[in-house]
Amino acid sequence: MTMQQEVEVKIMFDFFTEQFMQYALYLGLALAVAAAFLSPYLVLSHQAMIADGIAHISFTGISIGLLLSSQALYFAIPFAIIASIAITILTEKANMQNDASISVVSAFALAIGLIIVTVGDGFNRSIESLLVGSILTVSTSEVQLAIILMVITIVFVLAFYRPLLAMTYDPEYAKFSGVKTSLLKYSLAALTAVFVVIGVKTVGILLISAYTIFPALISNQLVKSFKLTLVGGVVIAIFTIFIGITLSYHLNLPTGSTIVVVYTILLIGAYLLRRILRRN
Amino acid sequence: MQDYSNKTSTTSNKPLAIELSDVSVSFGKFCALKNVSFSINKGDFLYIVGPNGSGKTTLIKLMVGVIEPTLGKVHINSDNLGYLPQKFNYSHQFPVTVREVIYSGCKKQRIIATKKSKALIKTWLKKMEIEHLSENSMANLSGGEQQRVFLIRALINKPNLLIMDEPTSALDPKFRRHFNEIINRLSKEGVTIIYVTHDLHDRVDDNAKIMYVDQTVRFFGNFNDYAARSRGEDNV
Repeated sequence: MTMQQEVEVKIMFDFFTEQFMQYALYLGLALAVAAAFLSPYLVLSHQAMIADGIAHISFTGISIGLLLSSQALYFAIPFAIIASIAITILTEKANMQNDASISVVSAFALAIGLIIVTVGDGFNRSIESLLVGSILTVSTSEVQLAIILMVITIVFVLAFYRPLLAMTYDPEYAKFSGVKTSLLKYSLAALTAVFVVIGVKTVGILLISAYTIFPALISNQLVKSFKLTLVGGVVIAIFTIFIGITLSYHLNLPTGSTIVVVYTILLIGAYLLRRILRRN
Repeated sequence: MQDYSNKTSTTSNKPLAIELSDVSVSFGKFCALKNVSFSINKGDFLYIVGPNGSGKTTLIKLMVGVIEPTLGKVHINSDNLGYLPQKFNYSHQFPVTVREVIYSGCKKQRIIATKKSKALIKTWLKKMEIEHLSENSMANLSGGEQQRVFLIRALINKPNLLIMDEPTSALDPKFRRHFNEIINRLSKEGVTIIYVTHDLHDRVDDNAKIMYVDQTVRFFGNFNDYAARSRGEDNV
């Protein structure tokens, strides 16, 4: 690398020396890695939309939290966990399709949230930031929370890697093998709910589900095994966060949206690459 | 088929392998099985036959513990059960390799498979003539190849009770013979085998018991009695 190239690279990533950008990067990476660990289990068991549904639900949880306290997360997290468990119960016990259960619970929760917002005063500013998030204004405690979430998610997935794989691939055989499928499903739903609530505050309701959907989808285009789908998803997520934040800074674009655009470009690229590889 | 036999158990001094007592299974208002009672002993070979929708698969799912009886008791006397389901509940786009699927049948599983497990999987792949497919995606396999993979998953723990639901349905005639040889060998080694089939012509064991199920047990006995009574019913 020439001296000039080194300087160019240094300028390109120089903004990461600023504290708010470091926080954005740490938070983005922590959330993206947590989401990438959840991604194959959600996407491959046809629960890709659960994060989107819980994001709508968390809107209500955070609205109630803002109405009653300055610490909205204290209300939003249990609210979202209860709603995610309600979705799982509807799917398991009421014989509803997963997407229908998600729609029922999220539509009801969103309706309640909108009523609260309409009745309550002084919401407008906070509510707008909920929709698109504000990753560049995150606090130390939010970064810490995201890192704790990432660690819990990694530990959960690694500890139950094989039972989770069995449950996702062949639920009946998993049950036969003695896997506590219901318990795992509820745990996964609860963990997804916590991820979404923490993510909504920073990435926004509209885009949070992209974090859980894209890693497995992109990775799945290129690899054969489940293990590589998971590992590939994590690598793709880390890469996307770096590129997304860098581009959004230099092009003055909204960070969350830029990250999703990068994910989409990677998905298209992976799909095309797979087609080329198959042809050859 | 009418009720031909009230005797729904095998007679030997060997210990019980499976016993169902007055078992009924309902899904809402639909009764899939009613008052099913039978037992078999360790080392026995039992074929379960019956028309489509007669409750054979429900019976199998009861025995492997995937569903619970609405009424009655199911007693399974085995600490090492092998199961080959009829339909596999997986998505064809699921990224999973042959080796990963087989490993999911192993008792002690780790994030990274041990050398011992890898060697065991390799041996079985060779035995089933699909060694070259070990790192292939399941999605790229034919129905018969997939069936062999699931059979290895069922056998890899050396079960003493093997329950199979139409195991040869996706197999070509050549491998079907090979499959039946494997099952015959297991039976001779003392493995208790329950085998759901529509076709008793290529049955493995002539001494096997036949159980005809149609919501309840309509016949339980040996093949000659079953064939004689089936012919009698055809003549009527």
